[in-house]
Formats: sequence, structure tokens, C-alpha cells
Amino acid sequence: MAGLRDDERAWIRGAQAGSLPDLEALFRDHWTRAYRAAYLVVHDAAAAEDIAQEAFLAAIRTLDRFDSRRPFGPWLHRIVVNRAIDWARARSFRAEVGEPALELAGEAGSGLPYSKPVLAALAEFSPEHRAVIVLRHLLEYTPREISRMLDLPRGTVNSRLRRGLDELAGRLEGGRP
Amino acid sequence: MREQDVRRALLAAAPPGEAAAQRRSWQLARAAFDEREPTPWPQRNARGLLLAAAVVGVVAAVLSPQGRAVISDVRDALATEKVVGVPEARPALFSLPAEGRLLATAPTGPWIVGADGSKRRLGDYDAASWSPRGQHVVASTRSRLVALTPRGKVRWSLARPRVHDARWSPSGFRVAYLSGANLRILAGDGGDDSRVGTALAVAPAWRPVEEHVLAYVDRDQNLTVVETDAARTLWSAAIGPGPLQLEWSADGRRLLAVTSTGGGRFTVTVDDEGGRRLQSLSFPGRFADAAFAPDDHRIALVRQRAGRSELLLVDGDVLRRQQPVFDGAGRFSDIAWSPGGRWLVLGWESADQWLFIRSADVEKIKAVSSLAKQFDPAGTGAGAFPRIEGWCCPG
Repeated sequence: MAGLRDDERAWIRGAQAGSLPDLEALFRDHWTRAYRAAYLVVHDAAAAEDIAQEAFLAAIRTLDRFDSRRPFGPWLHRIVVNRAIDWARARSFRAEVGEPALELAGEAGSGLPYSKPVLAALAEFSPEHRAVIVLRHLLEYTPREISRMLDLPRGTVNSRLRRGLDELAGRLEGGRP
Repeated sequence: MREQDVRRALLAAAPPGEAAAQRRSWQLARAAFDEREPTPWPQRNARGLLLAAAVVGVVAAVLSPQGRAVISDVRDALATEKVVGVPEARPALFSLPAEGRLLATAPTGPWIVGADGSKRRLGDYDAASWSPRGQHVVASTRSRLVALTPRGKVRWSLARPRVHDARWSPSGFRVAYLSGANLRILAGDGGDDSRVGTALAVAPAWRPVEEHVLAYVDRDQNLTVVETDAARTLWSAAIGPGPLQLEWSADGRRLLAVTSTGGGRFTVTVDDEGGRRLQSLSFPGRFADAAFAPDDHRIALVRQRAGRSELLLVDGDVLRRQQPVFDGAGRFSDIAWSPGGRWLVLGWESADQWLFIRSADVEKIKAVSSLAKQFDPAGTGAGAFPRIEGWCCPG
């Protein structure tokens, strides 16, 4: 995941020079994954939108200082996932708000047998645990990269991934007719 | 189950409203980008070049006889237009005459003034208002809503387009604000942001004694009162175009609405908590500000009229009962009551003064001058008269 494509480097440099089309290309290339990652951690569409939005606004504010030789994605995803964890933790302290059911647009038509059960099972994990799973399986970071992004020991990341996969499998198999 | 299955499932999951969310985010990102777009050298230095050109022009003008005559005329005109204000005003704000803290917004940002006169700038924000017990301030820029401690530390932050008129509920658990023409509400910790409806550009007002009852003016020019948690409209009444201010009395039994009626007049209406219209009266002049007293239904009302301004005390139950409190040349801008209701602070923009007035009988006036300069200590030149946002509880 950490590799940097030439087009991304060109978009960053273009945006730094004031090119709106380059910024748009960068935005379109990264927004969906950022939004989905946030959503899968917080399970709230409005919050996920705010989190992804704020991460991009932070990126734009610091664009002039951003080193175009570095990949943009990890930097953005680190902000997104950590903010999503903070948001989910804060919500858990609010007594008046319950955990909403996970809504999915167009999920029924996806044709993927595991989609809905996997996501429902994911909702059972803690926000921190979800973040590890999302970073690994949606955004495809290595455990080493995840441990750096979340400031966690590598062993913790590995164990959460292993336990996550086992629990997902167990719940899904247990739930099958 | 294999890793690939999890990955495929996660990739297939599109959250609700993803496309609309992306469109909204892009609009905001684009606006933010437009604001920071790098400018070429001549534009970056345009201010300096213009200043240099102006200096050259002024020097040339001063050296010519015609130029000296023009400058003399301008000086005379300025001298005759200058509003002196209250004589012997203090040159600096040394203390407040009553307990509590003032929140004021200058072009340099919002400031909190302590009872001992100490001032703290909260940051680079356009507007601010107190939380109910003064433990926080909700502030905004064009694209951001922020909750701050009185020391300026950010508690939470939310990006939204065209944010303005944020107000914290009396319970502390909700914040209402306008984002463009949308009235939105979020939890006091910054979460659960949701849209209530479309609203005209006047600050919404929370009812003080009841949790989460909010008054606003909807896009059809109706004064509307909603119970926000239940998303239920309690009542709605036509108010007409040009709403200027909404405010509840401290006991929550009166709702004041001020509208501009054109022709140099404005209308004050007072409804009870159930939506029954109790009073409506047209006033000559231009409305500036109004505030209910903290302990009864008296309204301190500031208007401008024929080059002068006036502070009136109006009985909220009988609007024709009015007591003139203070008048002066030029423009009064805003008014606030001290927490105990014994003092009023009046912004006299034309005189660059704040007047602290003890009781409606004006037993005492304490004036402070040079406000614009005091709220621009670095001399950035942004100096303009600070707006009084509220006088809140002791810190």
C-alpha cells in the first residue's frame, strides 16, 4: 500500500502549484476509501462524512508543506482512522445514544454472500479492533504499517487480526442455516 | 473464512448516501483550496506596492498648495463628525463592574474579558457564543464549527460549509447552528450532527427552561418552535420577511422576535410559550440589538435614528411602556445584561466606547474607550469595534 504512483506524485505537485484538476484527481482517488474506512469504524454515515471531510481539509491546509515524495494515502488514512476511533469512543460515553444498526446502500444487490453478515459481525468489535481490520482488509496495509499508524505494538495488531478473522468465521458459520 | 472473503465483503459495502457525501465533501474541499490557492509574486506583494504608491501620492499631495487645502478640509470634516462619547472614559478595561465574564468578537477573533479586565483571545474565529454555564464557547469560521474552552483549547471541531449563528442549548447537550440555509443540531460533544430544516439567516434561540426546544425562522418566513429531540413542531406563526433577532425571556414564557418592516421601521413581537401573540409594535428607526433582562420580562433595546442612537427599556408584557435609558450621537451597536441583571453593557461604536450602565435609572456609568485598539494589541490594523456576544457566569 505504501508505494507511490507517478500519477499521484504529479497530482500532489500540481495541487501544490494551484491546479484544481490535480486536487480533484487526488480527491477522487482517495475519498471513497477514506469515507468507507471511517464508516466501517464509526457506523454512522454523517460522522464518517465529517471525518473524511476534515481529513481532506487538513490535507489542503498543509498541502504546501507536504513532501510530494511521500505517499498521500497512509498520511490521510492515519488521520481518518484515528479520528474515527476517537469519535466512536466519544459516542460510547454518551448515554442517550445507542449504537445504530449498520446501514448499507445497495448491499443487497452486491451478490456477495459474505457482505452483510461480515459487516454485521464487524459491528460487534470495539472501534479499535474494527480499525485494525479495516486498515488490513479494506486499505491493505501490512501489520507493520498498521502498528505505526495506530501506535500499537506489532504483536497486538497481529493478534487482533488473527482473532478478528477467527471470530468473523465463527460467527458467520454459527449463523448459517 | 479467508482474508479475501473479508476484503471482498468490505469492498462491496457502500455506505448510505456515499455519492451525495462525496459531492458535498468535494464542494467544501474545493472552497478550501480556492482560499489557499498560491498567488504569483505581484499579487502577493500587491499590498506593499499599493501602500508605497499611496505614500508617494500623499507626499506629493502634501507638498502642493492644493493638496494642503484638501487635507485641511478633510481634517475639519473629521473633527466635526467625531463622536466624543462619555468624557473621562477609562483608556483601558481594568475590571468589570459586576461578576462574570464578557465574550466579545473583534476582527482579530473572539476574546473573553475576565472580571479583573484580563483579556484572552480564543483564536482565529469569526463569531462565538457562550455555553450555558460559561464552561465552553462555540465559535465558527466560514467552514468550521468549533467548541473551545475559555482558554482557547479546541474540544471538538466540525467542518461544514457557510457556518454561522451557533447557539448552545441551556442543557449543554445540544448546539444549534446554521450551515448556509440549513438549520442543524449536534450533540454538545460534537457528535450526532443532523439537519432540522431550512431556515432564514437569523440566530436560532433555545428555550431556557425546557430541554431542547428551539425557535427559528423557517424558509417560508414562519417563526417556528420545535422540540428537537422528537423532531416535532410545537407551533409556527407567520412573521414576515427580514427577521433580525429571536430571543426567549429567562423564564421561557416570552419569545421576542424583531423584524425589519422597511421604511425606516422595525417591528417587535412577543409571543407566549404556546405561540399566542401577546404584543406587536412597530418602532421608528433602525434596530441594532435587544436583550431580555435575566430576572423579568424587561427588554433592553437599542435602535439608531436620525444620526443618533438610543437605549430603551421596554416592558415585554406591554411594549408601549418604554423608558429611555441613554442616548448619544452616532451608532450604538449592541447590548448585554450582567448575570445578576444590575448592569448593562452598551457598545457605542461611533465613540469607540463600552458603557457599563448601572440599572435603568442610570445610577452610575463607567465608560471604557479605545476598544478597537484594545482588541487589536498587535496593531494588525484589523481594528474595528468589538461586538459584545454575551456577559456570562463567573469563571
